[in-house]
Amino acid sequence: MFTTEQQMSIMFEKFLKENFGNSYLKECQGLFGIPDFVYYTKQDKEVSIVSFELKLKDWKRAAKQAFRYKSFSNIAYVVLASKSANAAINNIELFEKYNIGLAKFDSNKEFEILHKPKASKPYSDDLSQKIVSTISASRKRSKSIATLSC
Amino acid sequence: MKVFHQTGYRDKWNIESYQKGVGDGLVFSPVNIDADKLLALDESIKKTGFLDPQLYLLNEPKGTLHTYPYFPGNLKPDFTTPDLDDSHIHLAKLCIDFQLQNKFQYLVIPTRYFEDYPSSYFVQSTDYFVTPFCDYLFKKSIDKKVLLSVIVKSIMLSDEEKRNEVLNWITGHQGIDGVYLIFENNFSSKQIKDFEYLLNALKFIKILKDNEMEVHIGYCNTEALLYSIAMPDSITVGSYENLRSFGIKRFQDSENGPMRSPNARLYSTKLLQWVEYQYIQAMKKLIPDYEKFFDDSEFKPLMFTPDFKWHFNKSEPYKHYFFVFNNQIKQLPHSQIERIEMLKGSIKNALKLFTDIENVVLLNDDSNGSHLSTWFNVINAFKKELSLE
Repeated sequence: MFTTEQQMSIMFEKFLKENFGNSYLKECQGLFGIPDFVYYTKQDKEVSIVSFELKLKDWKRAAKQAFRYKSFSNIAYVVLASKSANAAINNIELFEKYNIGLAKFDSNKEFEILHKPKASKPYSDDLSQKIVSTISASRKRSKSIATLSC
Repeated sequence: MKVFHQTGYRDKWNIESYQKGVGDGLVFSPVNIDADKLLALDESIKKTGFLDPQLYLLNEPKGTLHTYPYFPGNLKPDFTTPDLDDSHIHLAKLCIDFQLQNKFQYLVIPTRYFEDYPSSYFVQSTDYFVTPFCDYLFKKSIDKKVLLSVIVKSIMLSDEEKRNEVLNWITGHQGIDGVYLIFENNFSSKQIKDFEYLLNALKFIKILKDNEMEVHIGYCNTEALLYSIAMPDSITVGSYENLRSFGIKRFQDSENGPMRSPNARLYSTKLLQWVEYQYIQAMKKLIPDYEKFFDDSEFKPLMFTPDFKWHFNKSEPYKHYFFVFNNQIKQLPHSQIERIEMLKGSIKNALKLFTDIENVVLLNDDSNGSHLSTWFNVINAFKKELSLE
């Protein structure tokens, strides 16, 4: 059980590295909101972005933040601490309506997807370009993100 | 009801808009415009406005404030409150002479700012500012209208005793025609959503009007529309957020420290809300006729081109706001009850539009019109107050 978001963030970072590689940015600023993690993959010059908003509680605020990340991401996820995920599950239609991913995560690094969104084109061309140019020089290795979208 | 431009940094945008017929005058800001530059400004720009003397902090030479002859630090280095005992008459003379030299429409008596107002505040304000200013005006036989600056802190609205004290003080002077009223804003949200605060602000304005005082409200954001139902004489429009919400930081040197740039926003008269431009990008992708939510102006075509680089330092969103908000204010009926009903109708319409938008775009609490239900309730409560009399 996490007691702070910082603890949750540390564990989630380990989970990301182990399962998807180290091609991510942490608390990336200068976008629309500050996502906890921005994960990226590059295939044939095509860049895909997945943003994650981690929260111990307050799913609604997290959803509003995640929606902002759709300005520059193909996929945006709210990741809630497992113990507080029920309230969000009870409102899963909101995540479906706005095409926002929902997952729960616990201190054993168990990541369970509760709603898998469709990948979509980011809303803002400017912000997309901005983040693509930030990561274009990166040679970090990544894995497929196919499991994160439907 | 008049619309004044609350000028500050980038006052050029306000002046340009005013010269194009937007607004009724300008409130000049000494921390942002050099005294000589202000003196050199064309009379036509100044004759309908007034000066905010900005003696809020006695010895804080923020920006160009030190270029003003009445700035206390020019009378004595390290000027402090006790120095007012010897200097208040001279300071009043210098401040009035400067205002007269500029031929403003109104003469303004300054006020000081305190985090916690001392018990002697009103006595001191009378002795150091009101009396010497009025005496000098009488001596010079000046027939211009005189406004008294008043900063209204939250406690002065919520605490009835304090509210009565400040109202009694404002209305207890002879030779004062009105008040340059500034509601201090310590709220963290972009829009004020506090029912009690807003209702008490309306009651405060109403009492001043009942006492036949002119009421000019400074540092207004969109809640100027709400204030309008208490029938003030003017409200303000401002560009940056610190001109649409009074905070003492604007007059402290510490404000020069690192600051986070605000996200660019666009005001919509239909939504009664500033909307972050990134949400407009989302609306563009998700709502086919998204432009209908935003007003037309000479700036709109440029702002809605794909190449427009949105940034909080761009002039167009602010000039657009001055133009559309000024029009919105000017369309308000003169009758109080009609004004109330019109505003209620506008709120209902805005809420409906937000429902349409939020079918596809999930807005955050600074863009989603979440202040509007509070506004609606405040209007109803204020209306009830009016009919009780």
